[in-house]
Amino acid sequence: MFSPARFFETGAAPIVAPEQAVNPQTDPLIWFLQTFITLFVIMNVVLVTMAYQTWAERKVIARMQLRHGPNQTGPMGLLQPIADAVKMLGKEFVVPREADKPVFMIAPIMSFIPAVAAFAIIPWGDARSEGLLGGWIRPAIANLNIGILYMLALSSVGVYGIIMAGYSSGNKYSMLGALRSSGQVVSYELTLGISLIGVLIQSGTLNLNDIVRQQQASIWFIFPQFFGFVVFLISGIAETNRNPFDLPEAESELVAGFHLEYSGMSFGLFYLAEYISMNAIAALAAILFFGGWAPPFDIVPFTLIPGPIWLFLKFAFFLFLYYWIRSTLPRFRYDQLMGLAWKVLFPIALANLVITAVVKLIGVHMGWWV
Amino acid sequence: MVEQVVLIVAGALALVSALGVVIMPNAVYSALMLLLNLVSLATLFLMLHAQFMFAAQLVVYAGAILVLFLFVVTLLNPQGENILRDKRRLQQAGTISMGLFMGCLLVGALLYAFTNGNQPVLAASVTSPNSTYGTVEDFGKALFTQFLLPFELTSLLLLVALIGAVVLGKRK
Repeated sequence: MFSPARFFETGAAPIVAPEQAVNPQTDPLIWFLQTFITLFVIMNVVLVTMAYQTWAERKVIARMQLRHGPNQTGPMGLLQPIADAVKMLGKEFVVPREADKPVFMIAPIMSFIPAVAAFAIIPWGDARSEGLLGGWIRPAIANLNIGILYMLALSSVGVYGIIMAGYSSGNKYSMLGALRSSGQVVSYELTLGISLIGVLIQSGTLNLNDIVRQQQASIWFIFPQFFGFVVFLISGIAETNRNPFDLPEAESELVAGFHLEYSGMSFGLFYLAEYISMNAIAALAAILFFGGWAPPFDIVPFTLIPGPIWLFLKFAFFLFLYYWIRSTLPRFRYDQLMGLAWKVLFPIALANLVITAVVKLIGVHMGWWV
Repeated sequence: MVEQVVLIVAGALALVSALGVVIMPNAVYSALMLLLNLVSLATLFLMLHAQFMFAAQLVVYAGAILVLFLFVVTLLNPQGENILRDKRRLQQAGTISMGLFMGCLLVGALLYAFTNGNQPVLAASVTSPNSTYGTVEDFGKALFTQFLLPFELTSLLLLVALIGAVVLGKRK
C-alpha cells in the first residue's frame, strides 16, 4: 500500500509524529502535484540564485581589487548573468577527435545532477509546518531521515563527473586536472564527513530539520562545535574546488584542468555544478552550525522575520566569505593541499569527534544532557 | 504502484548494468556500468526500507571503492581486452563454461525460490509507519550489540590491511 507521506521517509519512525502532522496528504495525486510544484519553485530559486551569485561574486571581488566589475549590461550590470547564459547556450558544442564520445557527453551531467540533488533536502522553513500556499510549496522537497548521509553520498558521487571528464577528453591537461581533483575531493570528503559527526553526536539525529530545531532549542552549534565548523568550512571550500584550493583548474599550470575541452553549455553544466555545490555547502554550513531557518533569538524583532529570509541571510554571509577568501588568498601547492588535509584537518576533526563523544557520554551520565 | 514501478526499473537496470560490466569491451565502460549497478542496488535497498544500507552503499562503494577502480582503469587504460578475443583457447573455454554453470545455478536457485520457497514479503513490522527497521539508529544498535564481535573483527582486518598497505608503500 503506497502512502505518500512515507515514501521518502522510508522505513523509519516518521519525523512528524501522527498527532503533530499538519495536513497529512494521503491522496497520491495531490502529493505528486505538490512535490512537483515544490521542486519547480526550489529548482528555479536555486538556478536564479546561482546566476546572480556569479554577478555578486564579480562585483564583490572587483570592489576588493579596486575595480568596478560588470557595469555595462543593464543597471549596475544586473543583466550580465542573463547575457552570459545566452552566450553559453549559443556556443557550439565541440567534441574533440581524441575524445571518448559517450563518456564525454555524460560527464557534465554526472557532475551537475549530484550538485542539484543536494537541494532536495535543504529545509528553508520548519519542515514540520505546512509550508506556503496551504502546503503547495513545502518547506523542503524531502525531509529525509538520513539527511547528512545523503549529503555525503552526493558529494562522493559528484567526483565521477570530474574523473569521467578528465579521462574522456583525451588530453593530458584534463587527465592531470582530473587526477588532482579526485585526489583532493576524496581526501577532503573524509575530513568533511568526520567534522559532521561532531554535529551528529551533539544533536543525535541525521535529519537536517531536526538539527535546526535542536539549535533553536539550545544554541547554534558553532559554539560547541567550533573546531568542527572550521574543518567543515575549509573542507567545504576544497570539496567544491574553489580558491585557494582550485588546483584542478589551476590555469597557470593546467590550462583549465578537467573541463578544458568542454565548450558551450557542456562547459556551462560544469560551471553550474561548481557554483551550485558551493551554494549547497554554504546552505549546509548555515543549517548545521548557524541555526538554519531559526532566528538567532526567540524574541520579537527577530521572530517577525520569516525563516527563509534567515536562511538566506546566513547563506549570503557564507557566500561573501567565499568571495573574500578567493580574493585574498593565493593558490596552494599540491603537496601543501594534501598535507593540510591529512596532517592538520584530519587530526583536528578526529580530536573534535573524540572530545565531543566523551563530553556527551559524561553529560548523559551526569544528567546534563536530556 | 509507484513503489512497484521504481522496483522494476531499478531491478532491470541492475541486471542490465551487471551484464554490461562483463560484456563491455572497454574497462572504463565496465567500471561505469558497475557504478550504475551499485546505484540501482542502492535504490533497491531503499525500496526494502534499508535506508542506512542505501547511504552506505553510495558512500562506501560508489564513493570510495569504485573511484579507486576507475582511477586504476583510466590510468592503465587497457583497450579491447575482450574475453571473446582472447587467444588462449583453453582458458577461454574454461571461463565460458564456468560462467554458464554459475548462470544455470543462479537461474535454478531463483526458480526454486519462486516456485517452492516462501514468497518474499516484507514483514508488517518492517512496513508499518512506526517501524524503525533499517534506520541508522537500529543499524547502529544491532552492530554494537548483536553483531559486535564480527564488527570488531572486521575493523581489525581493515587495520591489518591498512598497515600492510603502508608497509608495502614504504618499501619502494
